[in-house]
Amino acid sequence: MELKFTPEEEAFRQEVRDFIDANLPDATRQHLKLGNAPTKEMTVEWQKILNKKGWATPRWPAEWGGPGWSVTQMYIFQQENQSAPAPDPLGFGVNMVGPVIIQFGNEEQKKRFLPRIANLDDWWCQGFSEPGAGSDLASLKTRAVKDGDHWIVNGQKTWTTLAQHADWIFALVRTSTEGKKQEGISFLLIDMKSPGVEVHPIQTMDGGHEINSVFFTDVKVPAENMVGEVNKGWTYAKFLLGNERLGAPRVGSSQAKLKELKEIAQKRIVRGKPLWDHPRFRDKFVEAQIELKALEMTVMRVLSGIEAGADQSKPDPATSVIKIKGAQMVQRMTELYIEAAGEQGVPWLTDEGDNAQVGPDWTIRAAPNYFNMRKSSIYGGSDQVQKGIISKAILGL
Amino acid sequence: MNFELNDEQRMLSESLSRMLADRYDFEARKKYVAMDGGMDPAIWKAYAEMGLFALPFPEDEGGIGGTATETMLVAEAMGHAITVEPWMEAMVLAPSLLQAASSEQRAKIAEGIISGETIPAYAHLEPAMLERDEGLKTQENGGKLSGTKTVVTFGEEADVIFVTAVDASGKTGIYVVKKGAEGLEARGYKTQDEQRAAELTFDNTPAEKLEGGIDADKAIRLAEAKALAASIGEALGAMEQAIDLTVAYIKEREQFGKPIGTFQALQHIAAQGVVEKEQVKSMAMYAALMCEDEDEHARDLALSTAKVKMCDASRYVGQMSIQLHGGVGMTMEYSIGRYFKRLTMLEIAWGDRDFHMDRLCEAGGLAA
Repeated sequence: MELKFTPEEEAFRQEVRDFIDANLPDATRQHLKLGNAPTKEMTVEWQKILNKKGWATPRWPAEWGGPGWSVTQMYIFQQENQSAPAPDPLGFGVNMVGPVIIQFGNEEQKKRFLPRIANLDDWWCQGFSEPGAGSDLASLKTRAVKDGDHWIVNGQKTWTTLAQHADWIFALVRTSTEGKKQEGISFLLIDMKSPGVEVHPIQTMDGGHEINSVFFTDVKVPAENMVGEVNKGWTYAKFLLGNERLGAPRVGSSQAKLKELKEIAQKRIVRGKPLWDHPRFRDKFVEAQIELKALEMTVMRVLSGIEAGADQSKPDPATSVIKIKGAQMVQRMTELYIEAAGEQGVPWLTDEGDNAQVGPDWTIRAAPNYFNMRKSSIYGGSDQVQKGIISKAILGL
Repeated sequence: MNFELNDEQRMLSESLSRMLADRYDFEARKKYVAMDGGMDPAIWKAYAEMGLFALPFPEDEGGIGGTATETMLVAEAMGHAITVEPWMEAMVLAPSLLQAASSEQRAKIAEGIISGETIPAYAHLEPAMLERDEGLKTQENGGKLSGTKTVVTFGEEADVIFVTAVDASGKTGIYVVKKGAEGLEARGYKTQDEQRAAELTFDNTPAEKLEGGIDADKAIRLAEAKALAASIGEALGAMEQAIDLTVAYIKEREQFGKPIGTFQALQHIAAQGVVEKEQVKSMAMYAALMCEDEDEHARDLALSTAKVKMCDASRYVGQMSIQLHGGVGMTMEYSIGRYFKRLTMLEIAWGDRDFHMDRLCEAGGLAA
């Protein structure tokens, strides 16, 4: 066991940091620093820069353009990228559908899709949840019926993040109603421009438009767009969700937020002294740092296990621990911001213009981010689903 | 000791709740907040006709002479429906601030408020003032005000604005500014909980000083104390409805072939919400009983105690409600998100958790 990074790893960190400093557009950095989500253009621009350098797909094998990094290097890269802050490479592509295609897809699919995923030429979205299939995902009803060399898809997906930008959707579809419900699900890649695909926006309580409903009406999908075997989609989905959960903690991003929060607190004068010097604020801040350190160590421990060759064919139950704690951490950050903003967090920046700006720039995003991040303990398998997994897989209950 | 309501109090609570149930459902509320001025004047009139605005004023000023207990009941009903109008300004803040006024001033302003003709606002916080008890910079000079006030609820729409300011000798006063007064500029916006608020700038704006009653500082502290007490009642109402909506949802929503409310893990999360809410109910009563206490120190510590409890419970119930609703709880298509947002804003209002913990800790904790 060794906590310190090797000199080589530290050199790598410096290399990553220098590259980001030299190449990350300043407008993007400033936009993210204020707590905004990146725009589509910012994400695409940055991922193309990373891909040119060969860094857009850290977890992919070298054969498909991965940089051949150790798990530690991947971790260092993610931490540096998030703390810059720079946009993450689009997770739906590089961390979700990409690895599924690499692991379970055929050669044509790999050649056709992987380079475009890496370069973000195609924006992917995730078609899993349905109005009647949330935590009970396996009860999904969107049907795909074989018709010659096509599948005909009918149904509705929901909570589809950024579907409004998407060129492609990877969808779980029902191809059989016989036997166990998990055994009749397939993994299908659908072109969003296909006739019969409709995207309807869902407005969230923070006022934003990030999620959508996607409707499929007699959508014709070429048979070659099925990944792996028919009716084996549940296995691929579990593989994908394990990867999704591992990406959830966003440790680097939380570290960057704490750093920024400290700067804010040092500048903000409350009752004659900096907020930073108020014991109640300092306590909360340090407690958040402690929690984050524990999460960071847990993430590193799990990654180290993967590097040491732990069985990866099924998800590690510790990923559930990381998912739960990761969500809590992200949410805790937003609580600290809204508590620091106080009454200056009350105005709601709407389409009425910038009348609502009353405090420093960061205060305007404090409340919307707090509201919006409640999603992180709901999506990707809610806290309750994760605890169910821990109860079964670890406790044997 | 007596925590029981009398018949008049029960009737007040029931009739307001009935009116709101009829006229203030989710769809109606959406319409009201989209109206010019951010509210429906007909609803404001209905409040006045029910006598809500007469409630806190003494009988010899055309009022009913109600106590903070009646105010708490109104606040609870308002929280239940997450109403957006500035009723707090009309029935809690204005009557308290007017205690600094002469009886002629009081009678003149109270009449408009009681009848519902006048919408009042309370302008106290300033941009460089992050806590409610910090020094004021808004200045009075020769009967005119200059300065800036921030996050003034319905500050742009209000007919009369109660403005706190210091005079040349540094003494705090309460000044009344009329809508459209010379040198007054209002920059209005929507708030996170769909009310209206504004940034107000005064530039040599004519203002009438309230004088002849109690000390202005004392009236301000009283107004803030009573508003805090009422806001705990309001949070209670919002929590009650948030829990009801959430329980109704988990009874109906099916996953794994049965309503998710049959899962014990979810039941216990909701049950904890009830535990928190019941504690707040007690604290809302405590706050109502203590907010008119003559001993200011005892009053303020009691209110801080109630507020800290309310903050913790509001956060638990708000977050729990979204979690148990799952994805739909995140959307504007369900009303639960609006309850969560209102509860969050109530946590911040009238001094947040840290502010009140500071006050309690500086005092060495509760007396006993």
